[in-house]
Amino acid sequence: MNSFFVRRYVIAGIFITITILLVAKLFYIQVIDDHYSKYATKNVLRPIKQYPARGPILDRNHKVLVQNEIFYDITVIPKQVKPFDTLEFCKLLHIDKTEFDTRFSKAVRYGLNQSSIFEKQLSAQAYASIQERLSEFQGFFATPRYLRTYPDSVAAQFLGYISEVNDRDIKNSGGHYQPGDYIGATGVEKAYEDVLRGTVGVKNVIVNSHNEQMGSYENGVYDTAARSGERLISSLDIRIQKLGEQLMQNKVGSIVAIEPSTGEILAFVSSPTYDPNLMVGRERGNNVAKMYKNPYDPLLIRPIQAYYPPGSSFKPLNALIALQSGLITPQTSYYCTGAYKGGLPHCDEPHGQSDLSRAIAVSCNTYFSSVFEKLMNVNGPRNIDTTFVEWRKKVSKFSFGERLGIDLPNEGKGFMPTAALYNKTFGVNHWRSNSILSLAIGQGELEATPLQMANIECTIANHGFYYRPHLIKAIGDKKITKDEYTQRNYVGIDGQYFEPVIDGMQQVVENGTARSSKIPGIIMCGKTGTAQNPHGKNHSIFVAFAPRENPKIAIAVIVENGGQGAWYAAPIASYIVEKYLTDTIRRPMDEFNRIKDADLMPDPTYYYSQIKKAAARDSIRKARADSLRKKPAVKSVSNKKNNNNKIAYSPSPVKRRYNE
Amino acid sequence: MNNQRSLFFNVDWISVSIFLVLCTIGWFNIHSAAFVPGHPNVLDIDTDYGKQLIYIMIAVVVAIFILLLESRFLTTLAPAFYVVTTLLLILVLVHGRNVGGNQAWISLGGGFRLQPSEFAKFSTCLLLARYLSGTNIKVTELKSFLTAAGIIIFPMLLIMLQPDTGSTLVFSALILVLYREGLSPYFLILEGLFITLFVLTLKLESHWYVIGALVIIGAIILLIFKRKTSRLKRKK
Repeated sequence: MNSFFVRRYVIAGIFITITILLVAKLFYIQVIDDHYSKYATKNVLRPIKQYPARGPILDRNHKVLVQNEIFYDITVIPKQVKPFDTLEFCKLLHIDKTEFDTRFSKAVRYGLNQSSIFEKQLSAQAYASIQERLSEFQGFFATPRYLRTYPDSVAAQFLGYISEVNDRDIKNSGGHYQPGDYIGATGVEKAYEDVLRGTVGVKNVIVNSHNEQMGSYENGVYDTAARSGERLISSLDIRIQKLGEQLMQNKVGSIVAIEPSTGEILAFVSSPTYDPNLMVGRERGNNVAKMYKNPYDPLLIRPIQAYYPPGSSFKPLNALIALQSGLITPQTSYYCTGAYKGGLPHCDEPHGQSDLSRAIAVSCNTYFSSVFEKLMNVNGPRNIDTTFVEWRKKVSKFSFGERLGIDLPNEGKGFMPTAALYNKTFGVNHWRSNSILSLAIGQGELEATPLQMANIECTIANHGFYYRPHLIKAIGDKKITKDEYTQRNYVGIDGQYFEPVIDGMQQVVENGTARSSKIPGIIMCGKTGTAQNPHGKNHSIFVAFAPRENPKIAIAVIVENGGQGAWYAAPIASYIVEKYLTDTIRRPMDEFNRIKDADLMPDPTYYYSQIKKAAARDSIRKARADSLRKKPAVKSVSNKKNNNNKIAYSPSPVKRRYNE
Repeated sequence: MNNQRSLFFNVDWISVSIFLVLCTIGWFNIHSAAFVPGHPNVLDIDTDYGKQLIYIMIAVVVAIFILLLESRFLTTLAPAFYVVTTLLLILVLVHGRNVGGNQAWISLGGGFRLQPSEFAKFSTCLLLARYLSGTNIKVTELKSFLTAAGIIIFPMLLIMLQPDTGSTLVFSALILVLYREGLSPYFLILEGLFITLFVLTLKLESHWYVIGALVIIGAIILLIFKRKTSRLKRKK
């Protein structure tokens, strides 16, 4: 003991101070600051996603186009597996012992306490036979899952398909999607993704340090239920959609039918098509690979992505423009000797003297060449470029060369040549009306999608206006009443000028080029087209609307390499119109079967090489147009698709080559 | 003082019970952190918590033996312990095993390893206690002060060579002992300032605030020190 005895209190004070500091800090961490408690909670909470059922899509009469069927995944938690009769289990799942062993060891590697999928997507029937016995095999569980099924296997390109989200989708969604989620990739599935997908629910489960589930958190107070996606009622009529796909089998082409009084799309056939059920389930990858190898490209959405020269089906348009400009009257007539001014284009036979209606009925090239020449020379032959620009503006009103704004992704524009293109091709002031005479009969550079062709028929049926084509009538119980769908789009032709043209179109079916496709008891007004094209045989085209009074359906049918419009396109259109209006086909079935069974598939290697050539030529044209207008060029030539229509996860080197 | 009356008469029972409580808390913590499913029993020696119990029991037995020893035995052997641990500290620098960047371990074979710095703490305490309890030893005198400081600083330097800064810092706690025996409080304040500096550099982004604060504190201390010495001189 010495004089420094009191210093023990200083030392004690130091220790007490340090202890108080530590206790205060502990108090702060454990009571005031919730950072660590949150961190700890996160450690034990597993939010488990509850997937909603995706909304079903129905046709206009509420028949199911796509719905969700329940499937079962068999999952396994290796830790909980008790010895069992392996062979019996294999027999139930239809797998062999080695397969069982590899799958089981994979599950063990994934985690002893983790639930991993052992068998994917068992159908309800397959599951029924396992369900009763599953309790014998401890550690194996069944997880229900909803998958898209298509009861009638129709309208594949219209409905589109869903696929797993890719990294870009996840990044762009703002946290809405996570890896493994599904997203609409094309068609209606993509366009209406927001309403179809529903809301994902969350179930909070407590886990211990070995990731074993210990029950629900706070009795599920914070859980949210999954909300199913909305039911979509599409405008499609499954009866004529099915009929159309049936008639188009073994043919390349497209059918689009629209209700003129609303703009609702009734049929949307793209041929060759595929069974949409192939895009679902365990074989999906193989099926998609097969489709990519198909030279006819079933994934192409031909109604909005394939471009065709409209051919003679374009003639009524020129007639209407000439009538509106006062250049011709319905009585104006020309004499046809079989060829225009003794040269091209020529007619199949000399038509003699015809007025407008007869010229349409017999599809007289001479007559329409004369009309076109008149149209182009209205300001004198030297001013053709300004005249052409005006004419082009009038044609564009019919949505040629422009997107109609249908509620589907990746709609094509078609191709409408510009004066600049001709200035480039022929030289400024070096072209005259006969340089571009093929435009008179819908040939030349002009190209349109089947949707655009059908929309023109709507416009004619409505005497001068159309509604924007769309394909969804209602979301859930709410009818879609968007302004853009109820607003009339006028094309700048007065209603009175339509009558003589419609007269001619009625004659086409009554006694003109398509007289063999007359439907008993129904007045159909149509126009055949026979489009010359660089891919070999002519395309068979028919556009029509029916009935004449109070039209219910407007339709465009394109059968690639089908020859004349009257051979295939017109009868197909007539069967669909008849079916739609009367719900039966009363005409002889052997003729129906002849059309249905006809095999018009072009030679695959030839078709494929032509597509490649077209793409090459197209890129030249594109480059040229780019240099002219500094704007992404209009695409052209028959077959074409957007890159972003590709399935993200399944690259196809073969296909990519002619995909520009 | 009758040592025969009770063997543990002089035992600081509070310290002993704190030690036992801490041991138990540590044991329970190991049980919850390193829990092995299938071996839920705390006494299962296949597990870490089972082994911990064995270590605790061994430690208790060793502690009883040490308590039984005559205190003079420890006082006498303190220099010997100090020399042995110092030799071990030198040996570890030559023959040590490098674990985690520190050459702090001597391998004994059979999976056992020795960390001499742990023993050095204990032997330094012993020698320092023996030295300070000697007659005529006053830390206020320069010679005694230097000797005491040498006892502490020599093993610190050897441990710093490993380098094991954590163990080195533990020795700085001995400054409290010297303070208790009369060391100038300014050493303590200096140490406090170093600790403050250390914490502040961790907490603050800009080191200029820290340096500034330290300069001010240092100036104040210097001022007090000068005034105090001048007052002492006046008294004389």
